Amino acid sequence: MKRLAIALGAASLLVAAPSARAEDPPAPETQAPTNPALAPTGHTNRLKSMWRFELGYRGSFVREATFDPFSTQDYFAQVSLGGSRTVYTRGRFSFAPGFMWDYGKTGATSRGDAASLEVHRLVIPLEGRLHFGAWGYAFLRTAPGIAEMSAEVDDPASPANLTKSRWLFATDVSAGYAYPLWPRDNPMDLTPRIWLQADSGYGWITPIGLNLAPDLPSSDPRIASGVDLGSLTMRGAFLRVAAAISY
Amino acid sequence: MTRLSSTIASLAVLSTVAGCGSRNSYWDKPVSAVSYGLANGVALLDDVDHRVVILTAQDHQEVTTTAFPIGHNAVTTMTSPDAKRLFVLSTGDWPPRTKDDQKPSLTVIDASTFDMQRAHYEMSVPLPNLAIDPLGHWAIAYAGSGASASFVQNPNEFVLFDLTSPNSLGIPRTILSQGGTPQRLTFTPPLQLPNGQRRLLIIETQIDVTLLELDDIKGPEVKIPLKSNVNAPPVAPAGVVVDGFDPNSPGDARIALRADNNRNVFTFTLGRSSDPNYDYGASINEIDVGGVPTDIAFVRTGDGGLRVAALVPATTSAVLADPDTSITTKVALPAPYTKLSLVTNVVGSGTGTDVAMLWNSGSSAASGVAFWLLGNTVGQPYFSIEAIPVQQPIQNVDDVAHYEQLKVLETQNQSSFFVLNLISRAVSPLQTSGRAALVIAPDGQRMWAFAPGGQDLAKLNFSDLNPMPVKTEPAIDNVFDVARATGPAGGRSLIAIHKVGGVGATVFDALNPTTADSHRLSGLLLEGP
Repeated sequence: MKRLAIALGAASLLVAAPSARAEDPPAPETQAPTNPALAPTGHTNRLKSMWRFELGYRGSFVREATFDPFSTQDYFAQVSLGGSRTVYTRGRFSFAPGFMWDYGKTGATSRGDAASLEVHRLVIPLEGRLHFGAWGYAFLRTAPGIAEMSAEVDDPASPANLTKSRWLFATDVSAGYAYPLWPRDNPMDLTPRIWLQADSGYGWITPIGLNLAPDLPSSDPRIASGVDLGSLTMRGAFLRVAAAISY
Repeated sequence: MTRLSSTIASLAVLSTVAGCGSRNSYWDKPVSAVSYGLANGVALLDDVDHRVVILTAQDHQEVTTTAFPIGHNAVTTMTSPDAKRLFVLSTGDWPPRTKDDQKPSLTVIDASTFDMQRAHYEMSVPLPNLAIDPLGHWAIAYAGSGASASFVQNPNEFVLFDLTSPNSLGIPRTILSQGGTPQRLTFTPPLQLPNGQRRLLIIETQIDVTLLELDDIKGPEVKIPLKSNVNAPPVAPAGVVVDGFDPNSPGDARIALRADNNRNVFTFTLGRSSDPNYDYGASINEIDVGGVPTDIAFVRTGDGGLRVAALVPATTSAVLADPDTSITTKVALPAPYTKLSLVTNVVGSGTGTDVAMLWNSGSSAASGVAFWLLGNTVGQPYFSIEAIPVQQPIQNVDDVAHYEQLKVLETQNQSSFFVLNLISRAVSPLQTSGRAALVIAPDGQRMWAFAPGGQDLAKLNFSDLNPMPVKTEPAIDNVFDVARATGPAGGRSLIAIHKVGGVGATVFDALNPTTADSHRLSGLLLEGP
């Protein structure tokens, strides 16, 4: 969890830093609109230039055979939590970087042994948006980052649980649409807005060798080895639905 | 918000359903492995995953694994007598429903070297029993006793596999039936028959015996009925012994048979046949030995003659029967011994006469063992028995490879055992604190005692019988003393199998086992197909 906190902190700093260089100035009430069609003169269009925080559900399709010990389906469910800040606008386009944390854990009984796989994915979503006024926006997102994968098998023949954990490179590419649910009027008002959004794309994490070893303390004198379940690449199409709040 | 919630839920359900690709059903079934000792490794039969995983010992208590595919639905698994081959008989996907369903088959893994090879033999019908040629040339699948492997089965059909022709098709053959079906198959060594040396297949049914030439399995069969008239009660064969390997003595090939329900010993002399359709024929002789014999053997006695020795526990005696004249000599025994094995090569006199060791298996009486000196028997039967007391009823007698003067006597209570030296007649007792199983190392240097389902294990060198105990953490299912593929010559490992989880093992240096240096392995069958 310490590593996770550090990573989240670093991601937050990355998001916060670009906001100072945003084309949209930090004092929106005095800024001239970049697109008169979207924002009245003298005000910031809060449907376009905004902080957003989202919470969603992500389902990934993983058809790797080495995923089988950990799941009875070729499917990996995760929860997504993230935030972004619009840092650049031009016409109907805007750009918003952010941070995102996806977390999922799956488990199954495999040949009588309990097996589980846990994935933390920390990425920097770089999102280009095409706005349609009160109808929201379409977006294209690429999200490089890192992921921690932890596999565990509880085999009674082993002196301790068989485990392996690694930080790996991860990235997503997706496209989707965000729709403002409420309120949809008065885009200049600095009031929180609720969005519904969905995106779909392809996710990939670099391979992990599943050579699991007994989780024994280094002081343990026993000589034990584990099991090699092959190499697992968490890759495949995914679908994510999320609710977001912006201001 | 209701609309939002329902939309999210619908998408989640949709994506979940779309991702419901199922995994291989192999993962959903718990491991149910059976282990077999081979000359150069340990085989783990994983029928659920249709494979055999061979564990090969390496230096420093390391182990490598190699998987070999086998046919679907293994019904019988056996090792050859020399442990150099593993045989897995499978019924396949029977009856076939799709063109991809597997046919019944026999898989043979040759473990005579560390470079193990696999051969696969298909057959047209599923058969559940297997007989292995001790000389390594043939294997036969047959129906035998037990449940049928298919809805309709011909119990008189068997399939012969030529093990010298890998991946060939099995040869089916059906024998003529007079009401019996094959129950036990015996492969003879080369016999001197009128048309030269031949190897025969002896098929015992419930009521008769059939002989076939192995090299001409489609050829004519010689059927030998065992009752003299139709009104006589049927004779149920219970085992055969064979004699007649001398190429200089044509026509001396003989077979002796005992029955479970008959006080006769049946001998068949194989000679020229009066029927031109047959290369040889069998003349039958019935010899009354005074009771139902429990074991028989061909022996050479002091008068230079060939006899059939039969143990008759009902009369606490042994009987020597001349297969030609049917003359018998009865020898009173100190106990009703039921088992007999020849130990001539160890304690023989060099005069060509045999010495047999007798013991009682399955009795609650502590009858010990006895040596039967057949050189004295015919003339002086009362001088021919030398009894050695053993304090516990004997369950089994094990040979020690390369040290034929040693026998290990397993007792019925399994909490003690004895090492018998045939030359000095010394019987060394060894006791265990609980029920123990014994495994004798193939190199004949040591044996291992372990508690099945327990954690205790001990090595005993035959040189000093000094127990060296070690322990494992998981329960022991079986242990195997195997040669190492790497490391100094003569190195051996002791692999203790733990049938828990995905199957584990603890590996010791067999020559100097210590718990501290042992290597523990887990999840041996967890790796995917």
